[in-house]
Amino acid sequence: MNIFDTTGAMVMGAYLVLLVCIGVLGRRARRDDSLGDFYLGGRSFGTLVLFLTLYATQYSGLTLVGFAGRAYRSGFTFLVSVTFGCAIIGGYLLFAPELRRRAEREGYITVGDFIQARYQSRRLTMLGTGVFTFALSAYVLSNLKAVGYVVEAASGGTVSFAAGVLSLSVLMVAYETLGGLRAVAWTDTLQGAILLLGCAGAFAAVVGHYGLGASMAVLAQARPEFFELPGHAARAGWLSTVLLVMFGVSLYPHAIQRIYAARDVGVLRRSLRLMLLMPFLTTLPMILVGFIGAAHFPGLGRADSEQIVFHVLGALAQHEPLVRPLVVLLVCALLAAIMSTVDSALLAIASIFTRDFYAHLRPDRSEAQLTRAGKRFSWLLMAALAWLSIVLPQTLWRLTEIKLEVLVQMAPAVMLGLHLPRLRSRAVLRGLLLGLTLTLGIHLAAAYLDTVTAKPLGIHAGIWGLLANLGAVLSHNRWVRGGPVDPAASTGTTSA
Amino acid sequence: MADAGPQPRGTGPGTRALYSVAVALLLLTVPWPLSGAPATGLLGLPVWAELSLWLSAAFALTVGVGLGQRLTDDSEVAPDPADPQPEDPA
Repeated sequence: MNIFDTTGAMVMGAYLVLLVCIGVLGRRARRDDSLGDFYLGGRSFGTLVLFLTLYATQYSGLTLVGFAGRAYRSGFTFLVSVTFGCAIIGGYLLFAPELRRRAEREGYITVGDFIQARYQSRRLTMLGTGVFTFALSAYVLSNLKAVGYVVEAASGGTVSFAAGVLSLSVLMVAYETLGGLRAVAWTDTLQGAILLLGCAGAFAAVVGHYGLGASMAVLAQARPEFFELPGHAARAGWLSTVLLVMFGVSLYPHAIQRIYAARDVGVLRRSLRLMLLMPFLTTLPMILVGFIGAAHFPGLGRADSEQIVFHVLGALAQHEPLVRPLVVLLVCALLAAIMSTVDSALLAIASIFTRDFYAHLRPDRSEAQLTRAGKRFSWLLMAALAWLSIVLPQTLWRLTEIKLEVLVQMAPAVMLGLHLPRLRSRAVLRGLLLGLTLTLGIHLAAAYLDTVTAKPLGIHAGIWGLLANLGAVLSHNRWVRGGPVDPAASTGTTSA
Repeated sequence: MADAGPQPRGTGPGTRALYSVAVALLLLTVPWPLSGAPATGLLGLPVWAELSLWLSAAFALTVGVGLGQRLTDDSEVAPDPADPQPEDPA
């Protein structure tokens, strides 16, 4: 399939040019050269922009295509993706409103700012920002790889994997460094709208043609195992996945950056409410397309099933000419989903570098100088990550797959830190080290020993690590006597 | 009896009850054995799968409408002593 024929190429070209124009507009709208304006859009986002930027950032290309493939292979147990989509918002509500209030009061730019202000421990801040940077870099790498595959597949091999990665990387870093978070959020608004349209269009076309009830009847004959109740291990895996995503995805620094960027807490509340609808309007339709594909296109291998959305729509396009523009829209939506995730994560890493590392090394630098340094860093970082996504050996890709299990170890530091004024940095540091060691230890053992699995008893290594982490934090903190250690608690502004 | 003063944000009995309901709903989404249930539900999916979906929707409703409103309601928090207070007219 090559969607880059004359019309497809024009639509795609117009979309990419529009992204750069939005970057220029974002630059013109800047109020000053401060870090707050560049990395948080001047903390001025209203409900629609905040909602669409959260949506486009959280729903990556994986949601659009990868989830349908997983549904095709795993069956109804993958409905867990709808549950964890809702659980992420539950995760936000455990900390986002209070963090947003403190961010405004104390001028946080990064999540590292909160950790430093809360615990007054440079070691904990450095380890925490290291964890965040690792998770974000792995996230960018896997999404850049997806960009290459999508462009190569959509162009029928005319545009190579490497050319796709490099050209779109340059474009993303261009509009990001032009307008900062303001440009990224505005492009996200466009990308989020395309993503929503693409999902709705694909779902309507597929269900309109095949019918949901009729497809489920076919599926009951073709894949009866889908209808069986999952066993104990699958049920444990369900709960483990929900917890991992709930406490992991809600902690991504680019999501926290958006929490800081909300105009006020009411805007945050309204945006999160809208986000609660998205698992039912984006994830569910895509996995239902995966189930319909399993009913009518049985027998696909892993690689082919990853493309099930395009298989189903490609077959439909042969009967109904109107579906072809929908395929173009879906490819645009897929690229939009991936790009909005990459640009946001890239901006978050640049903010961590600028604020948490560079500003401490060069305290004499003005905000404008720090902002310029952050932009230069973005170009260097994108070059390095694009290169790595092209040349990284398969064995190292395994590291990127455990990003969420590593990231979730920061949950006690952020979530408990906001609500337990007596929580001390030493307890959090010990818990974090224990959680990381256990998680990585289980993964290393699973990689080299046949008798060890990365999911003991069906539970992710990261969740075992989090339980150990939490146990260590709470038990250590219980033994240590002393008054409140949260500086905000001494002024009575924390929630107890 | 001493005045308890304003309730700190997110710790009132109503909020705690909503937290409990939300956690229970999340746990209930795990597919449970349903003896005697019909094979498929309203959408044609197996009943255990549809039940998970409806419970996810109930969780979303509890979190969005109930907890979200309470946790972002600034009027619930105790006043900051550092903030200037209005003068007593008396």
